[in-house]
Amino acid sequence: MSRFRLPKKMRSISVGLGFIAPNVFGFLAFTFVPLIFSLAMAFTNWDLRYHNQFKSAGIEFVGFDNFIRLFGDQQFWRYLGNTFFFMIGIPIGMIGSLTAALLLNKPLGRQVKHPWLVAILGIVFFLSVITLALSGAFLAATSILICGVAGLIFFGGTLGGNALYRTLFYMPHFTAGVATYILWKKLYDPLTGPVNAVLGPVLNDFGGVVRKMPDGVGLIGFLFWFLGVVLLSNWGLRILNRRWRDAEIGSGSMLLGLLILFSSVGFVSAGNLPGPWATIIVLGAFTVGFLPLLYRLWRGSRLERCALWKGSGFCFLIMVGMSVGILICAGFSLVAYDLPNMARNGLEPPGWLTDYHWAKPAIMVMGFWAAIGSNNMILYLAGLSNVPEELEEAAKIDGAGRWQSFWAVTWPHLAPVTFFIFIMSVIHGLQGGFEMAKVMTNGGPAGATTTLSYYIYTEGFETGRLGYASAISWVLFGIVLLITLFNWRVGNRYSND
Amino acid sequence: MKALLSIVFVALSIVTIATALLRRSEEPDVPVLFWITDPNPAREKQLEVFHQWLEDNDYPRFEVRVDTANADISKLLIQGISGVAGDILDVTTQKTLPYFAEIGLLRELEEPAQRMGFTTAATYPALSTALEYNDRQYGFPCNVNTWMLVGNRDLFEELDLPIPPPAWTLNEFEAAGKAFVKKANADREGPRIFFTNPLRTEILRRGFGLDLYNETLTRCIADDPRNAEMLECLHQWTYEDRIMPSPTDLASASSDSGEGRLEFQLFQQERYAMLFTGRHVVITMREAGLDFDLSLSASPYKIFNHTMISARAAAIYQGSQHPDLAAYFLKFLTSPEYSELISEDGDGLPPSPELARSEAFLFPADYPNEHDLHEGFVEAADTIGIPASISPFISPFLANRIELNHTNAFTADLYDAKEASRRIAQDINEEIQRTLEANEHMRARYEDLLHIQSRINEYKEAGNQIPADWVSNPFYRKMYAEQGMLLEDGQ
Amino acid sequence: MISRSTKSGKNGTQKRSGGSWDFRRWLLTLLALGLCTPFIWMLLTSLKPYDELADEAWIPSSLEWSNYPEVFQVIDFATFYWNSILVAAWVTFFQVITSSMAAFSFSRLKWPGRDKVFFLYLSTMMLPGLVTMIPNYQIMITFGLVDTLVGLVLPASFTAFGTFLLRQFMLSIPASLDEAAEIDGASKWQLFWEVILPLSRPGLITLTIFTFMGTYTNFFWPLVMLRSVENYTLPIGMMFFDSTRGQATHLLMAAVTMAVIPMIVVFLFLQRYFIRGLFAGGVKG
Repeated sequence: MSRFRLPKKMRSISVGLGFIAPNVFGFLAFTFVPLIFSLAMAFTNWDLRYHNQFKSAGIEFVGFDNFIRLFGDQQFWRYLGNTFFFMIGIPIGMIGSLTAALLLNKPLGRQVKHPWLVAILGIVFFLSVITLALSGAFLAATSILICGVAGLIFFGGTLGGNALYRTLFYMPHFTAGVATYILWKKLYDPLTGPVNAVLGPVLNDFGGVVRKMPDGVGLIGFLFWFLGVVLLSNWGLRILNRRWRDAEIGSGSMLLGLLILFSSVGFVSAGNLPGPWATIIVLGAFTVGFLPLLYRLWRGSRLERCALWKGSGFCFLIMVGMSVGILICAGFSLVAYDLPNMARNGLEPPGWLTDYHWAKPAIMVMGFWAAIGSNNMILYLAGLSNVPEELEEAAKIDGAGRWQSFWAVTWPHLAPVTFFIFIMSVIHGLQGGFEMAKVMTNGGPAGATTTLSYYIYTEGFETGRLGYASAISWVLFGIVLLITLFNWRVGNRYSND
Repeated sequence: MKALLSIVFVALSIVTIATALLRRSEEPDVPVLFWITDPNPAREKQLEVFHQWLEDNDYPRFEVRVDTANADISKLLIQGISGVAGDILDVTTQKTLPYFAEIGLLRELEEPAQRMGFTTAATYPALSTALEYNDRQYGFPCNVNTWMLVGNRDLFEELDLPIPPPAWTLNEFEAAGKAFVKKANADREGPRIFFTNPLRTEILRRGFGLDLYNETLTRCIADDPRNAEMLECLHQWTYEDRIMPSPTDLASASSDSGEGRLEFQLFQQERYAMLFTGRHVVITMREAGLDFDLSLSASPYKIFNHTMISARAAAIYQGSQHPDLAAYFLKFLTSPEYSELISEDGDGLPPSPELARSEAFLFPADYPNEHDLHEGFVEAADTIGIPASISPFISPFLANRIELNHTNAFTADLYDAKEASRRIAQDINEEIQRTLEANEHMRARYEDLLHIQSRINEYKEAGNQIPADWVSNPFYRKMYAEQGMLLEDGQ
Repeated sequence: MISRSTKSGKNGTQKRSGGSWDFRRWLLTLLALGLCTPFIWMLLTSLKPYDELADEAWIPSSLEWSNYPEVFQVIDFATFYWNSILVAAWVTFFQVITSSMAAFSFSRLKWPGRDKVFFLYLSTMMLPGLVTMIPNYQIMITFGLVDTLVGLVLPASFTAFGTFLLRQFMLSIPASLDEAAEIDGASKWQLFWEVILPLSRPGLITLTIFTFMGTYTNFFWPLVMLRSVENYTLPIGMMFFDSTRGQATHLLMAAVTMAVIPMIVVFLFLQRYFIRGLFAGGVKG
């Protein structure tokens, strides 16, 4: 064959590039050029108020001044902390959507045992809701409505099978973006929203109960939940220790896990215990608990060796989950401690988005709600549909239990999808929060819900300092890049095997 | 797969082409100007009258169209500096007017104003400084607002309590509030009834005789102990006496934003005895068919009775293709036809003070329950209204945000009132310095003003009268004038 | 959670698992209820008469179905609806085609520097979009695309997101198929069209759903780009209900409820492609 062909290497490049071409051209025009422009902007002192087509002052290059300034900017670090805080929910969200996908994967049976009974119940329920509503007994009507809707979903599930449930689960995402934020803002409104309308009477009664109890109750509650913190940390350390000893996780993974546990305890103590000394004591106690572990780690005293980063994903997930548990227990312990005091004046539901201490948790609940039935669930569903059935059946024949079957068969096939979801979640998590802040809280009581993204907005557009805002964006970019690189190295190996 | 994609492509193309063809609008033969404003149905009516007015007066014919969905300053900003914003822009005197004027997005109006008669003399004197930036006029009001406490007369009578007076001190307000919440909430299940919705810190602070900035607007003086006093007073009213709910959104009270709607409904349901709002509440009231008798009071004060006056003004975009035509719109705002519209509507006060004094306006026959509400609002605009203070050395949005942040932190018990006040002053002053560093050309003027300020301080200490044109802060100007500390020109 | 009772039925298909009262069904119902409660509230609020908006009761005293037609009267809802759907459809179309081609290149073809270029491509997603708003806007002005629907479609059609997603899906297709095709003498293009693309259907469908939803609910970019009312998309249109003098929560909720319908339709239509069994034949080596 003497046809002229380009050298193989060049040919493969040209084919490769040929396929990319359509996407890349558009990308160059609409993404790349603005990107470069904004990079240039980060090195200038561009301020919208003084440098625009209506003014004569020129933009000057100021080199790294913006970057230097931002490292010293207290607000930058604070909002960076906020951004990371909001990202804590990512692993939980992922687990939630994975669970949802698993639940929704298999088709449901269609037999309804007593269809007539269900139909009659349905009619009765509708009539009663209407009657109660008309007669003004709204609370009763609402409760029956909720139960009725539950029944309706159940019934519909028997008819529509999976499709209905999947649609219902994906509902939060249908109102994605601005509509969700507006919806939740109205839900959380302290004076007119349904959340407080329901919580109000409940807390009132609860407060009455607390008031009648003896004084030591607060302390007991505090100790109880604090015990929870201690137990969880202990359990976490033991898991790490055991797994490391059995060579199921590598030393690197264990260090990562320890780091996560340590920083969560530190974070909780620093944020809530009075005075720096209390934090130091707690961290000291924790370190003392670590020491045997660290010692063994250093000595490498275990029977088998394994790869440094083996099981890092597992470690990461478990430890983050545990840290969240610790955070929750710590939160409850403080609430319990304060409870008698709070109940004295009558227990009232908090102002949620308008209350400095409750704004962040409120947003995280909303985030969790949106995360379960979200894009990630769909991705997992799609990924699950790629898992070959034969392998699962083989595992069952081999006598594997549900959990083991999941880990051995399903999870590895989900690795590329998990990798994707994690990276995208991190990217969105670090970059997000702008629309949320703008629509719901305007940055929140005293900057509690301001993320870096919103800070970029206020610096760039409300104050006009676009040069500085660009610098912050690029620093954010750097952080995302680093985290993604790290993920890439760790995750790529698994997903490309 | 190929088949599917091709079908989709063809279908989409057909649909798109059909849409484009159906939507093709004819090019009007007159110039079209865009008015960027909020999506208020009343605007359409105003434009109808406007086009009629053009015809009646034989002015050049052109068309003005509304361009809405602009609750967003960033959109205006991006469009503005890229050269493609609308021709007539709605700006607010306390935020966007000075901000955009500084950026250079607004046209100076001196020449057309003189020629066509929409100078600041044509509207409320209190507003003249608010419509200017750097002593140049940039806008003319579309409607004017003063912020007062509207009260539910029937409710007070029912509970056998005195009707709130038009002006009252802090102590009187507190006593009335405490008496009210005690009686209203006695043996009652259900959510708590409050005396009023949250008051605004800027107005309360001024009631103590203190403003956010000093007389020359060069420095933030929130570290004055009176600011801490004000914050603590507010805190006490909210958390101890519980005559007000915790601020649902301090920022929302800063403009006639949609938040006011829910607060109005709470007022209607008698969960508030009084509502701190502007005259625009009248539209809402009439729509909702509110029928209880109303009273009007100013915000409580400690040493100086006043309220805030603000306006939604029309300005002309610097990059507009038809500035002369746009000027006709501003002239329209001074006309009796326009003022009549605003009066009927109830959306704020009309820009021309004389027209707000007619019988029909002050005592509308259809709404006897409004009593002297309108008169109260107009009186306030004429006598006690003072516009917000804006410093040219810091972005008004940023200053507001700093104040809000620290006030919220104080509410959340992160630090005490004194510390919060100190931080407000510190942060704002730092920002001012930063602005100066970035813009050396402003430094000369700043130094001059500092010089004047030190002389003002000397005079204050010596108890002398201060020359009026030294004081650029509208609040101090008014307060000193009333206290006799001001030396007017020609005295 | 693998089902307990799976027996091989006829033809090797799995017997459907579980009766109507099994635990999974209850759990699903409970979770679905929890997730949907805000929507119940939303639906009920959309039927409330105006003066009951600040009431705590969820159930209105009378069902104001007239709120729905009112939405169409207050704003040009139909136009916004149409614009949103049209734009979302086009963007989805372009994204699917260009991304699948690029993903194919990044996952099945081998060429030097492939992974590095991919990472570079990926990294462009990492910059927060706000600061590129102004340069982007300038570019749009240069092309004359401001205030047009085309201007909404074009930038959104070429993001790295779709490429990344499809690449991950394509990675899980066994390489043996490529080799088999090459032996059969197929060109890369044929490999792409005839073999890989059909196999990536779950990924393509996923991308379709995501892109459609994402474009449909996109708020900030259309807000900045569009000026004439006839070009507005739904999210911007709905803001009319939340602003000055118009905080008509009931109308807003009615508008949102109606806005959600196309997405439900799209989703219901596409979600059955996730059912296992549809691809049982394709993935075998």
